[in-house]
Amino acid sequence: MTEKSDWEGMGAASGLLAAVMFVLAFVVFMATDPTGATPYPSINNAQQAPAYLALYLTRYRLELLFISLGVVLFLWFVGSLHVALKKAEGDPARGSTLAVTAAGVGAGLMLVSLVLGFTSGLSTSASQASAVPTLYTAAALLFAFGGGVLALFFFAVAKVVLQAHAMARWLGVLAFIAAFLCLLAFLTPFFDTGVFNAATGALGLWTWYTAFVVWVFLASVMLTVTERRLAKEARTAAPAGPAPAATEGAVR
Amino acid sequence: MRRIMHDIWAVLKPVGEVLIAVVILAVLIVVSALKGGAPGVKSNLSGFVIAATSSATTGPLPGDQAVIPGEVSCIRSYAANPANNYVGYLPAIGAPEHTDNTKSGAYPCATFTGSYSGKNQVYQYRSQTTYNLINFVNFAGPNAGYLQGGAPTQSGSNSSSQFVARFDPATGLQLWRTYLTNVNTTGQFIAFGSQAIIKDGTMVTAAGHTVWKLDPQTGAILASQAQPIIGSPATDANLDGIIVAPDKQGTVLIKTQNRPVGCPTQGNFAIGSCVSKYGNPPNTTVVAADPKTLKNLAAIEVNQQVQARGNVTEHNGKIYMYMNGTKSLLRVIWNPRTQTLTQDKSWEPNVLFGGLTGGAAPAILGNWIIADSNANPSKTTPQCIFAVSQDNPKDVHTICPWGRKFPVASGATSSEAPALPGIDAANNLIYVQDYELKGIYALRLNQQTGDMKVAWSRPDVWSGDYFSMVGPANQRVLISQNLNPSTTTAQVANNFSYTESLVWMNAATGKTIAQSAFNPSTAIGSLINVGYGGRVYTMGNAGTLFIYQVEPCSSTAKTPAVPQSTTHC
Repeated sequence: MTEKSDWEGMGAASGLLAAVMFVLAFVVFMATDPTGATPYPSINNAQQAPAYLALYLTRYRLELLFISLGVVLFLWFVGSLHVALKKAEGDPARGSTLAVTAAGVGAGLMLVSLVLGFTSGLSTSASQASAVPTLYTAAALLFAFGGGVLALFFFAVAKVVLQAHAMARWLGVLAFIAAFLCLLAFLTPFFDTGVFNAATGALGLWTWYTAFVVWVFLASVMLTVTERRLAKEARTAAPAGPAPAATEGAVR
Repeated sequence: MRRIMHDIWAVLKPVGEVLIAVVILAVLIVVSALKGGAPGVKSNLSGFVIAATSSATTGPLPGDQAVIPGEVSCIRSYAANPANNYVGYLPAIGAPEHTDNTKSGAYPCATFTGSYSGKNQVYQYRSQTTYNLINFVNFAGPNAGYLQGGAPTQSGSNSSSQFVARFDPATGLQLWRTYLTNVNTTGQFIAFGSQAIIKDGTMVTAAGHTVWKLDPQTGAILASQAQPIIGSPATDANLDGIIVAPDKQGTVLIKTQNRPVGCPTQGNFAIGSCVSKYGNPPNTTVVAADPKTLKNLAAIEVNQQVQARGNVTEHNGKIYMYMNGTKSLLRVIWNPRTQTLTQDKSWEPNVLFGGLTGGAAPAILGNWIIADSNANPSKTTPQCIFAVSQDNPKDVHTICPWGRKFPVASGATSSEAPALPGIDAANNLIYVQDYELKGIYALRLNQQTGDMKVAWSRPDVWSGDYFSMVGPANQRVLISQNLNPSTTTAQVANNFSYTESLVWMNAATGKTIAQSAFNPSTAIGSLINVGYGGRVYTMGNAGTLFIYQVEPCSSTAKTPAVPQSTTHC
């Protein structure tokens, strides 16, 4: 395996790790007894956030840490995904460029949201603690908007996959579904409770988030398998002589 | 050979990569987990109180309605008994400025609604109204709560006027407000005033050098009378500590605390902070006022400055008002027949020694006047407690529960006791705290000899407030402030930015029965106000009342308290 294929392989597999991080974050989240005596608050109960954080500060921080690592690993994965999409799409690679841009913006919003969460966890004075409900709401909305922007990522990916056959067709269909689910996150500013609230809502958070994690996991598996296959083929082809340059085959 | 090495490397490399990733992850997790328990942050977060209007609260707290009729009936018979030092007040729990005429802190007619022996949780509710500085809380019955506010509770708090407000005891919502003063127009010294609901059902309240009578239903001012101030400009005097003499008409007795003449600072801290520039405050004036008209009946200047409030008791046929002055303990005799006030120069025990400073208001337990020390901080001698005979000022008994030298067991090197001891006369127990030494002590007084011994102590309870006791003598529950253990000396000294909880203890043993969540700080050296139906009220420095109610865990139908109390189900 060459150094280049090593990196590509790692990039493709980092989606798997990202999914693992997101799952770990969820496990830690469940350990905070989110429906217990001091529940994980919805937007209309954001005033309960300081009490929730006080009770589960360590676990809350760990959860945010896992999500942060997951987002960073997702960005690394997007690097490999971008290469694969661009390769299939060819120039001008509008779809793959859109995908990588949307992934960057979405991940960026998510990271800002996580920073606000960490800020709440560093309330070094009573007056800072009084800002926690606002920070909590802002963090939830930023995370939701990060998810909303991922709709563009998924639409772009779906287009390239389905039109240029960059990956398995079913992944493209799943990306379309994920894109629609992510779009719902844009509704969150209008709801402080119920399924569309950004903090605890089934459609405001959990559905699109689950779709995102599942798709990243599956795409990462597929991409890793493809990378390994390509690497193997390259290894097999190597003894026959130097591989032709990418453009050579196109010369007539 | 090369082939073998290549095969080994092919296995080792991915394993090593995974290992490195796992180590990095583990380090991140360990570091964040270790840092995650930051007690200061947790304290700050716990100190955030959910707004009363939020649906996330488990309030408002109407109290345990089932026990209220019994409380109403109990306090009627309790107040009627002269031995309980309550005869001049409306027979309502919380009608006096502070418990009763002796400021005992004992509320035998108030109910502890939790389980005395089982697990409890504490419900809490933040008042729906935010007031500008709360100084006192009184009750004229289960549905009639009153507060006086407006005096600066700490250096830097801003106020131009004092007021009285009526509030709903379940929600803390203001029902009416009547302003009493405006320092901008009068230049009057503004400090903690005083108020009480007297036996004719009206409210008597004092601020500056004036006493008012208010209609408790409407807040309308029925009468007001400026009292004569002797030896000090009236604008530098503040009447504090209304007590109702146990005479036939219920004469209102009250004294002044004065700031140094010329000092422009407002708030009680002006009394001490201006000394270096303006000299010592003038001597205190004691006044007697007619309870109906508030017209002055008598006024005298005592021979020293008295910062703390006074107490009144009848002893050997005379009505004595006891005070803790800067030079000595002292007493003034009120003669209702001649309508005169006289300082009893034969009773001026100077109990202080070493570097002890004068104490808070003296308490009364039978024949003994119980005085603490260090109401102003001392860095030379930890607080000591004194029992002085009413009959013989030389019969003085001393106990220094924290020791006589610094540092004390907690490591503290300064002592400050801004609130007087709690007195449980039925059990001969005295409860003392120290804001800087930390820890509380229960002292047992031998009423025959005056000797005091430590009955129990709780080094972990940290309070600078008065104690309150509820329930019958054989199942007394002691309620105390308890500062967050992570509180720093700087927070105590400077900005009250700490959080605190209320702890309910078995008064006989000190064992915790219930403890609330930690909330923002409350007025220091203030009373934990006991109301009806098991409710307790504290006065937040940020202007909100905190209403508490303990409930046992035995009932499974109850919703968990939000925020979760320190003791919970």
